[in-house]
Amino acid sequence: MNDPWVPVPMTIRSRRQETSDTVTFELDASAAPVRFRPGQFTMLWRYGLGEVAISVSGDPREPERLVHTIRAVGAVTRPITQLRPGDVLGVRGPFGRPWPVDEAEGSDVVLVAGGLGMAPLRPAWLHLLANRERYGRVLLLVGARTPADLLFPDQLGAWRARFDTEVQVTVDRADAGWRGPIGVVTRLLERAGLDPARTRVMTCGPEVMMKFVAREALRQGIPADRIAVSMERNMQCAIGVCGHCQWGADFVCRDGPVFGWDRVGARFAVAGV
Amino acid sequence: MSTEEVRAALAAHPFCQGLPEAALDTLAGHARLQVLAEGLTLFEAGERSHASWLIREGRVGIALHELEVVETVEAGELLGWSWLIGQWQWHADARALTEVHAIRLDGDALAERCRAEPSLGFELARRALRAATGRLERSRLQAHDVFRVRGA
Ligand SMILES: Cc1cc2nc3c(=O)[nH]c(=O)nc-3n(C[C@H](O)[C@H](O)[C@H](O)COP(=O)(O)OP(=O)(O)OC[C@H]3O[C@@H](n4cnc5c(N)ncnc54)[C@H](O)[C@@H]3O)c2cc1C
Ligand code: FES
Repeated sequence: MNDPWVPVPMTIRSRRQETSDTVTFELDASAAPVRFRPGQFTMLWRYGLGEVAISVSGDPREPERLVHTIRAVGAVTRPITQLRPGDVLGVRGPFGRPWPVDEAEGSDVVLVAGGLGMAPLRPAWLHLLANRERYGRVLLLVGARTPADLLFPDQLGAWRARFDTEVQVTVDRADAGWRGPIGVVTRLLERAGLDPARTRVMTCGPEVMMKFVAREALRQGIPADRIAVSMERNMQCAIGVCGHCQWGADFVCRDGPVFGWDRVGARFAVAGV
Repeated sequence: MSTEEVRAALAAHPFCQGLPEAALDTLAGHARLQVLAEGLTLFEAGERSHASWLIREGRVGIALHELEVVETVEAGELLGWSWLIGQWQWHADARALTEVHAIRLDGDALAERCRAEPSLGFELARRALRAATGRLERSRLQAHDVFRVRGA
């Protein structure tokens, strides 16, 4: 990793509009390859605007191509998503603890993604596919608000067509043109026919959704330490110094963003989410 | 379609998991296998409810406000439990979104049998309650509209 305090300038190589408010950028990292683990994030900085934490959504085997999927929600992300190929962003990182893909070897692995949660889980999924022989069943369960809000729809289709993976998508609402499942993503988990003794769950999405996913996994008998969630908190330093991202006894940037449910489940109960 | 076929289909359906043999026999006497064509309406809100379906294959959409489907019911799941809890009217619409293979339970006859055999009634009501509780929890989560972008 480069100096964690100093942003490395990288040029936007390509920009893809994913949904009405979300874009995927590929940055040229060939001069300073970003070797990251699935689930890690970087701090993206734009002169005059500020800095935001964004998960890497690309392929961990391609450190020269740094990929991020960003939703325009506020003062920094809105203008950043307007940038075009050739524009430059400053990059610090990667930071944070990854998804437990190594610990999951030999197990069945279920990724449960809600909305933008597909972005941080995508590198984990690509890792599972690239090392398919090291895992048992691999399942990707995706929930979105409507079919138009689905991230990476073409890739979902291609992954679904493989014979060695199980990919299911559900939406909260749809018009008559949609023939797939409708309902919350936890239903896909109910239907998955999992063997709790050999399953690991990794989930990312809105906190309420992750709470219901964890609850359903626990109900099926999957132990809390085999359920991982990824958290978001406001960040500044991203290296465990400033305390901005404090959450209970943890700093999300240093101790997370990926946490075991055994460590953080009780906090969800307190938060009332 | 023989009663044995129906009984075997019932025994293989998750709804019937753990049911005593005698209860399966009773159910088989009041059930039949159906193939429902895509687009077929199974029931509409306001109609008299006197059946349940155990879905074996395919997908049924439940709609509350005319065309808006709020949830799909799929293989291994129970569709419709109103008659089991003494409500004889549907409160939603149900339409086959794909071709559907199902076991149709005759609610009129089974309600009679449940009154005569409370242990059977208890088993069926318990399973229906489990399905209804799941639906309630999912509706709560759906009501959060969790994927709405805050501040947007
Ligand atoms: C570890 C980590 C990984 C992240 N990964 C990604 C990612 O891959 N892609 C991505 O787009 N974002 C990601 N985020 C969230 C991203 O950092 C925030 O959306 C961003 O900081 C918002 O900054 P802003 O200045 O644009 O918005 P602000 O001006 O700070 O906020 C404006 C409005 O947006 C709302 N808002 C803030 N954050 C969010 C949010 N996360 N979701 C919805 N509404 C929000 C606020 O409530 C407010 O109403 C991640 C955050 C963390 C901590
Ligand atoms: S962002 Fe500074 S401690 Fe986490």
